[in-house]
Amino acid sequence: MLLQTDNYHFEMIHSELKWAVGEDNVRTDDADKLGHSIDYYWVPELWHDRNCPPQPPQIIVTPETAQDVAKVMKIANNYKIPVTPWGGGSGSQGGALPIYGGISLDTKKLNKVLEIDEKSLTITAETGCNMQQLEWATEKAGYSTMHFPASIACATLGGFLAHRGTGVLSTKYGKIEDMVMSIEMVTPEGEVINTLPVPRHASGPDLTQMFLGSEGTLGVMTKVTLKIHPIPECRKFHAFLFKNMTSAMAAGSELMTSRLRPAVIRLYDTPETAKLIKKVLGIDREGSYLVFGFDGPEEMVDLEMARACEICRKQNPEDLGTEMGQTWWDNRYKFFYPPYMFHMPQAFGTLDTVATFANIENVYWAMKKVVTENFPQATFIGHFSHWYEWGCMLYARFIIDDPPSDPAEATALYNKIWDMAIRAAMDNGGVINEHHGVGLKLGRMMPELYGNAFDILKRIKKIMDPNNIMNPGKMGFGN
Amino acid sequence: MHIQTHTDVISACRFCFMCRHLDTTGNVTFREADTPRGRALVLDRIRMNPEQLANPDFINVMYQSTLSAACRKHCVSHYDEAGLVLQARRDIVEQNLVPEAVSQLAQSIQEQFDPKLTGEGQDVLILSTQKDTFEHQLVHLTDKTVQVLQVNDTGKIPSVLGLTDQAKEMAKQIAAMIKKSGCSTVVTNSPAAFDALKNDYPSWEIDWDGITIEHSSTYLTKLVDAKKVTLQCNDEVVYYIDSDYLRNYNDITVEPRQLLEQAGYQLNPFGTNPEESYALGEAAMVLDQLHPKLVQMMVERFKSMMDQPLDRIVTASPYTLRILRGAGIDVMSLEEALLACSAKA
Repeated sequence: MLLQTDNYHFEMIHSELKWAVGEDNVRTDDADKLGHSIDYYWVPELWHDRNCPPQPPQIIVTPETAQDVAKVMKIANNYKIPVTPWGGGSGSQGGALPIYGGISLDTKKLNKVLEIDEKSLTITAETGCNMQQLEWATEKAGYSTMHFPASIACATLGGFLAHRGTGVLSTKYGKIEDMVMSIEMVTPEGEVINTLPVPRHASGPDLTQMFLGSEGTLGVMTKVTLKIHPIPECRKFHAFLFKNMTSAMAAGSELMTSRLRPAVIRLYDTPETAKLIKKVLGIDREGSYLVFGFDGPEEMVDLEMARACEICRKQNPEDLGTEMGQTWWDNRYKFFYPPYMFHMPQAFGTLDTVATFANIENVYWAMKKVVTENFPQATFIGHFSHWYEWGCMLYARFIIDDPPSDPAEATALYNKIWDMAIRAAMDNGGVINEHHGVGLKLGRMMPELYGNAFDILKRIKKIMDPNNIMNPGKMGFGN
Repeated sequence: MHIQTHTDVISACRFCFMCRHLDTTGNVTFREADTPRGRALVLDRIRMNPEQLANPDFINVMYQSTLSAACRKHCVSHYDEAGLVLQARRDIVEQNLVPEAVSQLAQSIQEQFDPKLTGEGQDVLILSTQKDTFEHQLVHLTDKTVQVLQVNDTGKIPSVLGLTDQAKEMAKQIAAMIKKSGCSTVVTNSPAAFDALKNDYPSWEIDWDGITIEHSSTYLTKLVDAKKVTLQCNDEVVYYIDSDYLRNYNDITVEPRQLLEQAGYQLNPFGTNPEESYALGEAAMVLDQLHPKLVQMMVERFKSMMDQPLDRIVTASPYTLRILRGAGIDVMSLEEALLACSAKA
């Protein structure tokens, strides 16, 4: 049911919610609703920039406990009101946008750090914790989550769980789904459930992994236990400039297939090296910039670093040394601050794709071809940012400096680039996507990506959320 | 509109989330509107639709900001979001949309504005916004004869409320009295007064004609370095809370800590991080009067960040001191901490 705010029925529901979770936790003010109408997705930003009317929720609810969340779910189910979970609002896929209005369920008051288990090295926290605040609290106790995404300052822990987020050190420490021990979840019908306390077991299919990445369509995650790590004795970096991306990719993939354990590898294609590495790090030379880092006990780091450098030197790159690697690490978030980040009036999108080493370069060239041949007004750049034993993630981007001023026309152009580029990636073995999620932006691609397996996901959704109140219109589940 | 002077800030902040973890108001209300992004979005709407300035929800957001500038300091490009909010407040005032509570506060400040110059001495003038505290402490430390200018406010309060004309008028009177005193240095222990004289007054075209403006922490550091004051005594553990006006507006972070260490104190870092503002709304000057519940929430967050309930706090901000003392927290001003363990050389 779509709520109308100018009638007494709205006030009836408004009162019921306030009674359930407290008056301070139900808000309808225009300023906060505006904030909830735009996340980090380019289309609502464009809509705002062109002074189009915002599409806000009718009500913002800020539960303080899992039981509060359950009460909200029961009320929403009773009246069939859409509920869209909202954490930090920094997702790039429109996953937190309340496109059908209703309730924006803001989790930020679920912000308690509940326990640090120093024997097992785990931390249990509520999912509304701001990630940077959580990392600081963990560090104060002498440990680290090792989860360092660019959105660390803005996103909540629950946001990462909801779309399977990742951090800079994912190559060694894993993505968020590798860090999770167990979760507490409130189902769409208001039941509070817990998954098994350890992630390795043979007690049937893994419910934890099923809920991770569900983007608020299967319920609301309210509590999580994560692995934590000792602060490493040292962390060192090294950078090289390769003649081209292919030789750099050969070095990067050999680093991984030789089973060295870098904490991070990042490889920038030649155009991005020229555009961003020059702008942020000041390296003004042609080529493909590759940086990697190791952490842990110093003797082990030095040994692995030496082996990694040997592998790279086989391709005869320019050795930029440790300083240019450390500089990259020190500035790793700078890329995302204005004015370094792409911004209006530019149109831009991150064509996040993941594939095996056998396919990843083909994916890159196929996407690049599609974008540059069909959209001459667009620039295509990319880097490879999260590396695994079997492949890596391509963080490709298109940028249009001067998109159409009409918002509908600009959105149509934007969607067409996505449609063509992502399909080119899928045709070459790419999976959308590695860590940004699906949301509103890519929902329409889900049936193609999954094939007939998508019907299984739809059936799970139907069983868990029979009234389809949870984040309708996202993940390809429709309304 | 005055916000048009900060369109670069609106453009930069409206879609940027990178400092939201440091917004003092947002960290206790958890509202999207109470972050630099949220406020920039609101002001962007107003920029495009000026009639929306009259929306009481939008006005409320502007007056809930602590202006701590922790976000500006954190930002790699240092976009002046606090400055943007100040311009928005000026627009609210000029369009007669100012909330009644704000008007009453400004009027009360005006009615109590009666600056008085006392004492003797050519060299140093102490500007005090509190009664019978700092000037005695400094005289005790330095044995100097000083002139004292006692004011209820330097114009900072009307300035942060958006009443710039009132603030400028107060500034003119204070500047005239200081110049007439013949002093060469003005010292104040109030970070807000220091910021007003150091930064606001020159921006209002008040020329100090060579008079130096000092915060007491930098002034005392010079006296200690010149061995005119000796600090010594105990090894008590304390937690120093930065003043927003010192740290985020004037980059003064080292001197207060150095003085405390020279006095023998062991400094422990407060909270979990060095970036967040724990000054409880100091830069908004009267947040506790306009939004007492909000400040109470900040106090609760402050308490949750303490290592132990009995931790001893030191702050350079009289505002922060007053709020913490009111909450029953063991707190000393910087001068009290130094006076407790100092001797004239």
